[in-house]
Amino acid sequence: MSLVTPGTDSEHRAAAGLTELFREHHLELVRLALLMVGDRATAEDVVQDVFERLHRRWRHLHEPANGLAYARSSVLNACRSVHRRSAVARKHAPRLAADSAALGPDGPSALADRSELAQALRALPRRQREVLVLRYYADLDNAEIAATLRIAPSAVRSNCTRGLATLAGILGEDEK
Amino acid sequence: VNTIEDRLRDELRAVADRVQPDSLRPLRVSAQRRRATTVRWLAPVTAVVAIAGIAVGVSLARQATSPPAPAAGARTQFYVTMNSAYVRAGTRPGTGPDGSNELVEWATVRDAATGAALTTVRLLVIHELKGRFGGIPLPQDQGIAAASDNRTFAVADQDGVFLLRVTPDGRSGRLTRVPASTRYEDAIALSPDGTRIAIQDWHCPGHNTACETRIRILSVATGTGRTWLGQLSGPARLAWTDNGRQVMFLWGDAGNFPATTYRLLDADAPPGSLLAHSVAMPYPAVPKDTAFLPTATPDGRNLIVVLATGRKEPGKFQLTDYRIVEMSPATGRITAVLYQAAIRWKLAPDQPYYGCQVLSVAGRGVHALVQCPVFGRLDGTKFTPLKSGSVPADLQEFGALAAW
Repeated sequence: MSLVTPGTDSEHRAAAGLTELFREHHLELVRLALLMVGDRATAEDVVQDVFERLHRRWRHLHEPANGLAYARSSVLNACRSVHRRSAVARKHAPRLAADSAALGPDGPSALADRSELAQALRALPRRQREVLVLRYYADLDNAEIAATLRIAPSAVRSNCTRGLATLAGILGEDEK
Repeated sequence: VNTIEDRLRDELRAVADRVQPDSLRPLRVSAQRRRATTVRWLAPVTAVVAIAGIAVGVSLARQATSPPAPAAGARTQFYVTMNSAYVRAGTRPGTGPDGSNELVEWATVRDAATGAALTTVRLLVIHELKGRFGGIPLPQDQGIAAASDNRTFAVADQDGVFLLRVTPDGRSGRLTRVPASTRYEDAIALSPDGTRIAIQDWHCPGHNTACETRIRILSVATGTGRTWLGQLSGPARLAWTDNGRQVMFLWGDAGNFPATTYRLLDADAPPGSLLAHSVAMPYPAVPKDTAFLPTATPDGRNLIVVLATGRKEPGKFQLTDYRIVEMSPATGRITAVLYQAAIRWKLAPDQPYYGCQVLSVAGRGVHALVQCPVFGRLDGTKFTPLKSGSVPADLQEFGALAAW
């Protein structure tokens, strides 16, 4: 089944690429979003929105073959926005009380996982958290993480090292 | 075998596996959006999730408002904060159509002694005409820096880089755009005389291509200047030397982390390689328990570092001891403990990071705006809390948004 109905040849190729991306990686992307925002409904919304945007931009991508990396970047960007939105919403809770439903019935803070380590991960600075999730969940290497986050490979290594060290510090145990 | 790595991998996998393929919500888009596009989405057989069409309009409004003048004769020194918030438009003058929402970003000039707001300058307004807040892009790439006159500030957001010039009494500010195109700003620093700005951002040739770090030094009047490229390991913590001739930046030796060192770039050096045109400074390596990157004072005589150690406590509480210390650039030894804070916190879902960080330094010696976790000024070992109402407690998600 195709996700899109193509019109022209170029649209057909674009449709096929996007459909394949969805078929192969929708689950992975939702899981990635879940690890970043901690709430399943929000994670699914994020990925839904990303595919919607991809649909509009697919034909304009320089390298559609690398759509997965682009989709991962988009998911992480969208998750970042969720965090910022929820932080702003908390700060302005009285003013936005009437709009709280817009953030979802649980709000983004309804974690799917409450283990100590997962919560410690969530307390890390954003960049470190992203690098650790891409490394230890998505199994990406340094170059792939760098391309996804659009940072230098050396920044990937340092954020990973610092993130692991911080986790160890928070959990009160040795890193190794 | 690294215990933390194994635990992390297992836990992430366990959480992710809770989402199974057959439980995923299928995709669909609204009829309105389907009509608007040539290529249509076909809802899968079970697809039934609607997306509200959201019309987003962007408008810029840059204006200053002035509250009553401060008491005559009061000593005035300023710091500026950047904030952003969602507001319901139509509920107060100057906002968008009734029923719409807005994301508003503004800078506030504050009295450095009391924290009192002296004037507010609106930076950016994004209207969302209908629906929920989810359609509004959020503030990104924000930065703020100050010149040594304490009246000229640079603010950066996704719309560009601007100069904010504050009147001597701090009661009004004038905003002008620096004519330079920027993206992915990680750090900005304004030269002591306020005529040049150093910007660290990313040079990305295209999607899925590794980016290089770029440091540019531009004239704030013309936007022209020089560019150096290199591979940094993170935010460069740019700082001008107090003679205005050189820019200090953190250089990460990725192969030997955490051996991060400061380097010195001559502002008039030829453009090209960042590494080739800068020299290493005799600053020490960053200690392993550094919580945030060190900050060098403009006179280069002090290095301010935040150290952190944590331990578990009963009931899933953590106790983290933060120390803001002064280090000798020559020896790397701690010469003074400026401030200490023990933060006991319970790991909670989606909890923002409430650690300590140095936001901005000014003048000679140690004069810093810090958050630890309370926002305030640190003069040597004297900490003075300042009004934090306009500074988000969760600065980590918003970046360091205060400067003086």
